[in-house]
Amino acid sequence: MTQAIARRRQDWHPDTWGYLAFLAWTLVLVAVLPPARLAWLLGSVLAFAGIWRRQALLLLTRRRTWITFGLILLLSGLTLGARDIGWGWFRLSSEGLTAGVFMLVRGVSILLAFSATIGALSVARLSAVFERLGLKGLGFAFGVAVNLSVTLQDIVLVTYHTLRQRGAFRLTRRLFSNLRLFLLGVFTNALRHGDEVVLAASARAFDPDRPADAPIPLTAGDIVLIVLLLAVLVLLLL
Amino acid sequence: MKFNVRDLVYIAIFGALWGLLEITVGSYLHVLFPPLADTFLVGIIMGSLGILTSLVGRRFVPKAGAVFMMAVIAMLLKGLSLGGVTLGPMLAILIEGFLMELGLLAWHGKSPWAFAFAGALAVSWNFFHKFLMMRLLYGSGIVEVALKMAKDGARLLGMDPSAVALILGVLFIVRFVVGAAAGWVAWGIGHAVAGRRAQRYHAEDPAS
Repeated sequence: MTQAIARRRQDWHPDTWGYLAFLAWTLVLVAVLPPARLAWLLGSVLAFAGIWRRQALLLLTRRRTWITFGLILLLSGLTLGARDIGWGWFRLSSEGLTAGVFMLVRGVSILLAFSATIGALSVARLSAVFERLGLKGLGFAFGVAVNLSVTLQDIVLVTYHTLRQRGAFRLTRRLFSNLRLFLLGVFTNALRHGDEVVLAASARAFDPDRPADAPIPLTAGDIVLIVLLLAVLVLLLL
Repeated sequence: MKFNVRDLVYIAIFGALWGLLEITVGSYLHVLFPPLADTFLVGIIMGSLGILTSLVGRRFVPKAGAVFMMAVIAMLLKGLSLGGVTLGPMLAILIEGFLMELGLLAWHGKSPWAFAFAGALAVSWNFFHKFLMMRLLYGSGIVEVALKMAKDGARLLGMDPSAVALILGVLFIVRFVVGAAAGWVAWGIGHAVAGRRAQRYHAEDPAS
């Protein structure tokens, strides 16, 4: 009985196609919606995440996220347009701040939509989606890319600081040869990490040629969500 | 084209590096150089860096379609970027990947000339990208975009704005040459990285 209720609830919950439609919907609206209506988009994305994927909202509780937002606003206020508002020597551009706010609203909408979608889909499911689209192996590659992003950032930073401490980036005649050394270091170390991933994938008997185990179902939740998204799209564009 | 696990992991790595460059350096450049962002400087810098990264990767996955897959991964990662409208850069990355594949196919992809041609084709796209995006997002006409591009280019190059054709020609040729240079450098760096890896494996396994 409890299982039947749980299954029925599960049916009304969006799955792969629903989440992908939501992501595509957000990207389209971010690109085509006039700035004055962007707040509606952010509201819709927050509502979606609040109802179906609360974990995605955790992003907004991190201090680092808000520091980044603050920096974007500050940079926009400092670099775009004439500085017409401020206190004493500290002046910012209202035009830049407005552009920064719109940039942030777009950015937060995309981040939340991605966070909700990526969080809801496993690498295996993503792999299956790309396979359905005729792009074999792309799902696996994208999963590896997302997971390795932090490691790759560390590799770039460590190589940069190692060379910087040796004075490699001073404006001397050897600057170009040192930049080449930097690239060599980054690529060689990245490939070394790649070899470890290859070993791990081989140990788990991953085979990119093996077809996805099960078809991706279109649930009732997916259909409801897609209809809802289309309705909101029409309303926002009218 | 069939890719094995090693190919896919290498594609992921170089695609991720390209994507990270776009997310970090690209976003900062767009904020720091807003007046030039859409016409010349940022496009040429980011195009060259992306091409350099993906063509070094092509050296390790010498199969048709590898660069395009790296571009798709970079494009998906760019979607995570906090910048404003990311549709333009995402489309540019995808088309650059496609053009690189075309260039490599045309030259059979196994020489520095092939890499240089692929790079030149890809960075040259930046020139046409502006026309496409202005049409798609703002509905601007070709003449309108060309005049604005010529005005910005004249300011950047210190030329007379009335010489529209000459300015546009110079802007296109600079892109072509920078792209070719990026491709050529990528071939050399790829070769050096392969040499380093061969040395390392030889040192780890002296019996081989």
